[in-house]
Order: sequence, then C-alpha cells, then structure tokens
Amino acid sequence: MTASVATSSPPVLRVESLSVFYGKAQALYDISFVVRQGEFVSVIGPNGAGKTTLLNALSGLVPYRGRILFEEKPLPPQPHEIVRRGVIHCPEGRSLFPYLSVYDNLILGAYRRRDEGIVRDLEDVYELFPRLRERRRQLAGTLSGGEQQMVAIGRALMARPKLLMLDEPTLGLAPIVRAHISQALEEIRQRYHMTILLAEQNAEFAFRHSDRLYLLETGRIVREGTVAEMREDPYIRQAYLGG
Amino acid sequence: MGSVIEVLILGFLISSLYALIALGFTMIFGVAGVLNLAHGAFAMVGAYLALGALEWGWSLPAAALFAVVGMAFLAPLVYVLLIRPVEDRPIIVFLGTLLFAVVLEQIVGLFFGFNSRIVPPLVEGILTVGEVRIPVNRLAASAIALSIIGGLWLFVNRTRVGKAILALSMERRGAALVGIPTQRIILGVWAISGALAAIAGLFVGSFFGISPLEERLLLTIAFTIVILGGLGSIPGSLGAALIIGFSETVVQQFAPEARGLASLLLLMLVLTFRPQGLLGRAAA
Amino acid sequence: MRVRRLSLRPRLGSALLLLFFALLAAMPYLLPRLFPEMETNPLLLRRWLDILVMANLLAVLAMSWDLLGGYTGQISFGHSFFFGLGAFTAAILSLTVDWSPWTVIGVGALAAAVGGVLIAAPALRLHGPYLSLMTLVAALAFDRFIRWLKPADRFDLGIPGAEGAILCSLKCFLTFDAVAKYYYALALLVGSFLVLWAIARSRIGLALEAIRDDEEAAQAAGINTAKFKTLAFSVSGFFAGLSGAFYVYHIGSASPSYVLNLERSVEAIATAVLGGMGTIVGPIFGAYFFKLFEELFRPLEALRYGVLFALALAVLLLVQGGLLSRALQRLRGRDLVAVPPSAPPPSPPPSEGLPQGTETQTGTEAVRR
Ligand SMILES: Nc1ncnc2c1ncn2[C@@H]1O[C@H](COP(=O)(O)OP(=O)(O)O)[C@@H](O)[C@H]1O
Ligand SMILES: [Mg+2]
Repeated sequence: MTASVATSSPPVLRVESLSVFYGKAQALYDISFVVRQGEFVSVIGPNGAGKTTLLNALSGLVPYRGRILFEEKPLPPQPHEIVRRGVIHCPEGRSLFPYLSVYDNLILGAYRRRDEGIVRDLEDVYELFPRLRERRRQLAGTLSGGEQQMVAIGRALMARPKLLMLDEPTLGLAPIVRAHISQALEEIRQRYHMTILLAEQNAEFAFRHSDRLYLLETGRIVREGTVAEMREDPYIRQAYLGG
Repeated sequence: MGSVIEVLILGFLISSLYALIALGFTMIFGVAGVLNLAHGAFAMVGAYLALGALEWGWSLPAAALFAVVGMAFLAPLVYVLLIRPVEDRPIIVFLGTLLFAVVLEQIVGLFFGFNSRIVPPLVEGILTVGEVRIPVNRLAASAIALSIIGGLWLFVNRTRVGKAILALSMERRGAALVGIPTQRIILGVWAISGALAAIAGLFVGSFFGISPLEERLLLTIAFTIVILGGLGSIPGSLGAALIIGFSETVVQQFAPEARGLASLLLLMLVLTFRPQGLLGRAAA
Repeated sequence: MRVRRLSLRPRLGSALLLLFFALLAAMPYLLPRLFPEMETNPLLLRRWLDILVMANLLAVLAMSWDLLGGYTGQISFGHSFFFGLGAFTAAILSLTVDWSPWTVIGVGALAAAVGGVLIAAPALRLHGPYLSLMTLVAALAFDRFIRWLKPADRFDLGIPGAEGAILCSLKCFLTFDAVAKYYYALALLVGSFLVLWAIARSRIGLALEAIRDDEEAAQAAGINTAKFKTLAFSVSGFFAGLSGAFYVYHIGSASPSYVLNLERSVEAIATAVLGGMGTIVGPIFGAYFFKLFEELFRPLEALRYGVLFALALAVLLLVQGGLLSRALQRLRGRDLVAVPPSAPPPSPPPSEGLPQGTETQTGTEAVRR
C-alpha cells in the first residue's frame, strides 16, 4: 500500500457544502470534503448513495449548490472548461464513442490539448494497456467490457489529468479483468503521481488503492478517515467489509 | 437513346441536390437529436433571401452569398430561441418546428406572394453532346453540390473539429467529458445545416422554381431520404438520395401521371418492413 | 411528455362547456338579434351559420387528432388522409348508391376508420418520427392516387381544372335549410365530443396516456399496446372521416386540393395545440378561435394564417396546456397543477435549473387525482 505521504500536502480539491437536486428530490446534502495533492481518495457507498451524482457535479454535468474549489479557484460551470482545468472524469458506463476507433477515442481524450506530448502520451497508454494497441483500429463499441474500460481510462489519461475521477471502473467486469485494471491504477499512480478520486461500491477494491476514504450513504457523508482508521470502524467492517 | 441517357444524367444531377437537402437535415438529427421539420422552410427562405437581394439590385453571386450566410446565421438563432428551451420534450420540438415552418411560409408569402419564382441560373447555356442536351446550370449546381458534400465528408472525418462532431453525435456526455464544447459545436452544426439548406434552396429555385408552400415538398424529400438511408447516417442519405432522384426522374419521364406515387409507395414499404432504413445502421 | 391534462370534472368546467353548447344551440336566434343586418339579409345569416358549421367540422377533426396525438402520443401529420378518405367515400357513394345521407356519411367515417386500422398495422412497429412520416406519406400517396385515378371522370362530374375532384352537389346535399344544417353540424360536434370524451375518461384513455408517457413501461405493465394503438388509430380515423364526409354534404363536392391538402393536417394540429393538446375539449375552442379569427380578420388575407400559426407556436412553446386551460386556471383562481401528495418535504429547487434529460413531476398525475 502506498504510505500516506500525501495526507499532509495542501488540498487541490476542496468541496464545500455541495447539494444536488433532481427536480424536487435531493440527491446530495451539504457534502464537504478535500482531496490533497497526490492523494488517492475513494468515496464508497451503496448503490444509489449519490457517488455518481457527486462526480457529475464535479465535472459540470449536473447543476449544484455549494462551492467547489480546485487549486484554490472555483471550478467553472461548463464541462469543457472544467476539463481545461485538468479535472478529468472517467464516467460510469464509460460513455465511449461507439462508432469511432479505439485510436480516435483516445485522441479525442486530448481534445483540449495542443502540446507536443500527445503522441508520447498515446504511447504511454498503449504501454499501460497493450491490448489497446492491438485493437487500435477496432470500433470502440465492438470491444469487450474490460477493453472498453481500458479505453475509457486511457481516454481520460490522454487529457493529462491533474485530478482523475473514476466512477466504478470495475463494475461488471470479470475478476481477472478487474485485477488487470487494479494493476493499471497502481501503475498510473506510480508513474504520474496523479491525484485520484474514486467512486466505488466495491469496498475491497477501494480499500486496496486508497489513502483515505469517505463513506457516502443516501446523499450524506457518514464516515471518513484513512484506510487504517476506516478498517477499524466496526460499522464499516460489518456493513462493507464482510464482518 | 439520347433521352434515356439524358434522363439518367438528369437523375444524377437532381440526386446530388436532394443529397444536399437531406444532409443538413440528417446532421441536425445526428448531432443535436432534433428532427427539424423547418429544414425545408430553411431552404425555401434561403432561396427567397437571394431573390430579395436580387430585387435590391445585388448581383447574383452577392445575393447567393447573402442567402447562404443569412441562413447560416438564422438557423442557430432559431435553435437557441425556439428549440433549445424545449429540447428535452421531443413532441413539442417536433410540432414546434412544423408550426414554425408554416409560419415561415406565411411570412415569405406576405412579402413575395405565393406564386412560384425562378432563381436565375448561375451559368447560362446548354451543353450538347450528340443527342444529349444538358443545361450547364444543372451541371454546375450538381458539381458544386457534390464538392460541398465531399468537402463536408473530409471535414467531418479528417479534422479535429469534425471528429468532435462525430463524437458528439454518438455520445453527448462523453463528448462533454473530453472537453468538447458541446453547445458551441451544436450551434456550428445548425449553421452548417442552415447554409446547406440555403444552397439547396438556391439550386432548387433555379432548377424548378420555388414557392413558399413548396418547402413542404423539400421537407418531404429530405425526410424520405434520411429515413430510407437511416436516420443520422450520412452515407445512407447519399445512397437514398440517388434512389429517390433517379426514381423520380425516371417516373417523371416515362409515367408522369404516377409521379411521386412510386417513391411514396416505396417509402411506405421501407417504413413498414425496414424502419431502420435501407442502407444505414439502426438509428441510435 | 408534459401535456397538461385539463380536468373538467370540477363543476366549473362542465358548467362552462354546457353554457357554450347552449349558446351554440341558440345561435340561429341570437345572431339576428345581435346583428340586425342579418335580419334583413338572410344570406348574411346563412354565411355565418356556414362558418360555424366549418368550425364544428374543424373541431371534430382536431379532436380526432387530439385523441391520437395528445392522448396517445402518436403524432399524425396525415389527418388529411382520414378526412379525405371519408370525403371521397361519401362523394362517390352519394353518386353510386341510393342511401340516405346519414348512411353515406356513416360509411364514409367507417372507411376512414378502416384506413386508420390499415395505417396502424405498420404504425405498430414505428415510433416517433417514423410514425409521423408514415402518416404523412399515406396522406401524400392517397392524394396522388386520387389525382391519378380521377374518379370524377367516371361520373362525368369532374370539375375542370381540379384534378380528381368530384362534384356531387345534386346528390350530396344534406339540406338546403341552413338552420337545419347548422343543427346537424352541432349535433355532430356534441356527439363526437361525448364519445371521444367518454373514451378519454375511460380505462381506454388511461391506457392511451400510459402509452404516450412511456410505451415500454405501459407494455411492461400488461397493457396490450398494439390493441390500444390500433383502437386509437381507428377511432381517430373514424371521427376525422366523419368530419370529411359531413364536409362533402355541406359543400357539395370533394376536391383533393381541399380535402387532401396537407393544410387540413396542419390546421388540425394548430387547432389542437391552440386549444390544448391531450384535453379533447380544448380543440373545440381552438377550432372556434381559428375559424372566427380567419373570418374576422379576412382583410388581412394570407397574413391571418401566419398569425394563427405563430399563435399556435407561441402557445405550444410558452403556454403549457393551451389557452383554454390557462383561462380556466385564471377563472378558478388556483393552479391546476397541485403538488403531488407524495412529494418530499419542500426544499428549494436549485437556481441553476434542472439537469438535462430529467423529467420533473408534472400535472399529468396530479390533476388526475
Ligand atoms: N438523472 C436523474 N434524475 C433523477 N434522479 C436521479 C438521477 N440520477 C440519479 N438519481 C437519483 O439520485 C440518487 C443518487 O444516484 P447516483 O448518484 O447514481 O448513486 P450511486 O452512483 O451512488 O449509485 C439515487 O436516488 C438516484 O435515483
Ligand atoms: Mg453510480
């Protein structure tokens, strides 16, 4: 496990009393939390807790009330402006472009960038997921679920995220594929020292990767702490870690 | 023999116009998810913008440019003012664009009357090869239409913004999340669609003449072609335009009394048995 | 779909409607009292009664559209098909058989109902724009077919210059008594309204609305969507055809350039939208508004259609539920749309507006209770 070297560094993401409404129904209630430079933070919670809603608010897909500061400045409202700030969301359900090739999907990940490093980064993604190099001409919609998830993560990486937000990257994947994704996440952390925010229902998976975690239930943060602290929490042990 | 070749050539030339009409219509559906029933009216208004400019004493090229630029400006405006506020309610959008189209008919009729008008040909003259006689204007129109279609194809498939348009048409959320400014792109596509409609309207006006109510025919043609070709599919639209253009011309030539009936019956059959279109992939 | 449903169950609505029908019934006596020039000039009275007849026919056509479009969510662009089918059947029958006018009109309506079933067959597999295009194509194809067939030529009654038109005025005339005809048309309106209203308020109407709101969910809930859609098409076709057949017996001819003109479909839609989609009763007022506007602003010529269609567009985009529902709302002094009882404790909605693609609770369910 990565030691909590990052827990004392300054917060890059600061969320202050964030609320989200779907019409009259409230999905998030006054959520506040921080993510520090280089940290791997997970938001865990059961299905319907509001994890996806939280990430969608952060990436500008749903309107919210409250404040979101990234690198001490408020995030702009539009998704494409948020992307420009380096906050990249790899969404639930992946949202790939099904009739475009793997290559096109990855290149579109760098849509906001004009620097020279794009080719280099594409090589890195292919190195991380060699399968994608083999399949680079194939239409994304025809890939297996695991391969699609690799494209989704690769596409997010192509934006050179300062903060990478992943929503249930292993949902519905076979154990062996899950292990592969898991390994890739470790590699991404090692290589780029990237700050990562993971939304995850699978607590085991989240605990394996995180420095700190937040537990979200019915739109409220009910527990928070480092991996070690959270592991000791009797409620979490019982409800999420299988006793 | 000459007449058969002539019909085939004319069929091809007309097909390229139809393709141009259908292209803007299908692009808006593919990218913005809006079935714009005012598309025929856009083409009609485009032709009348040019006619108006001509009456003001503008030269034909200037008038044509005015029409194209005008529609490229008006179409996104219509989207912002009329369609975007009700975008998430397809039935309202559907009926709204239909009603807007008939309002446009009336407005144009108010200024220009309801009789058919001819847009002067861009190029005069008739090309004669053996027994085959083809108006040069039609050749020029078709050549322009085909170059526009080709250029658009290159733009969409070969450029960064074009790829963004494709991506947006497939997955709006994904497009937003990679940093594509979706609203700006959608406005741009409306502008392209308006410009294409205006060009098509100009050519139709110089081929056959145009009247305010004739926009319905243009809309029906566009609608028919994109359904035959598969909604949102650009190559499908091109193929379907050929089918419709040829069948119309051939029927017109050899059985004028059944004009329109054949392609309508064909369309009914396709709708019944292959609603995803003859050529295209199933609409998403 | 956020079509607001106008409930007439509250007594005010029903009372107003009764009052309106009573007013219409009194028209032949009221008009000459209100406008003395009609007393001296019976032709003028006759003209106005004829206009009201046309309003009734438009109302029936628009109500039939509303059952299909407003209630079932099947947007038809081809109601001129049903209208024309009824009209041509009636015109041809009036020349070929010796039936009473009512029988002919009824058979015309039935023919259009059959037309509805025929369209429904492929329509069951079609959704949204495909379905609308199918209805449009049926209307266009029927128009071409009639013009090609030129049925009038077989009776030597073709109108010169009007392709495919049938002139049957000697045999297809309901009555020469304008007042009597006015009452027949009024009876047609009230009868059609009662039947359509009863259907809309019955379990059938519930099923149709369920199909409109979410066809898959309706199917999952055990509603035989194919059956109900076919029913909606045939009932809608029936009343549109009834309107068309009666029209022939009102005017004395059937011409493709009128009865099969797409204008009929557009008018039906604009009328239903003006009065309020999904209400059945709304189109009646929409039709009277349409026809009176058309008549009163005659000096505006073509411009008045522009104004009418623009009004319909504005109502569609801005006034949910149509003008009538808004007016009633005002009258009743409260919102037709109540907060649903199951709503969570009121929390202020976000000022930024709603996310795309989410449906807020609308009046549909709320008003039904
Ligand atoms: N588009 C939406 N419209 C209305 N309610 C929604 C929408 N998306 C999510 N919700 C509701 O918000 C709550 C949180 O959902 P979500 O964020 O998807 O949870 P999670 O990702 O933790 O499973 C749920 O009650 C869900 O039903
Ligand atoms: Mg989720």
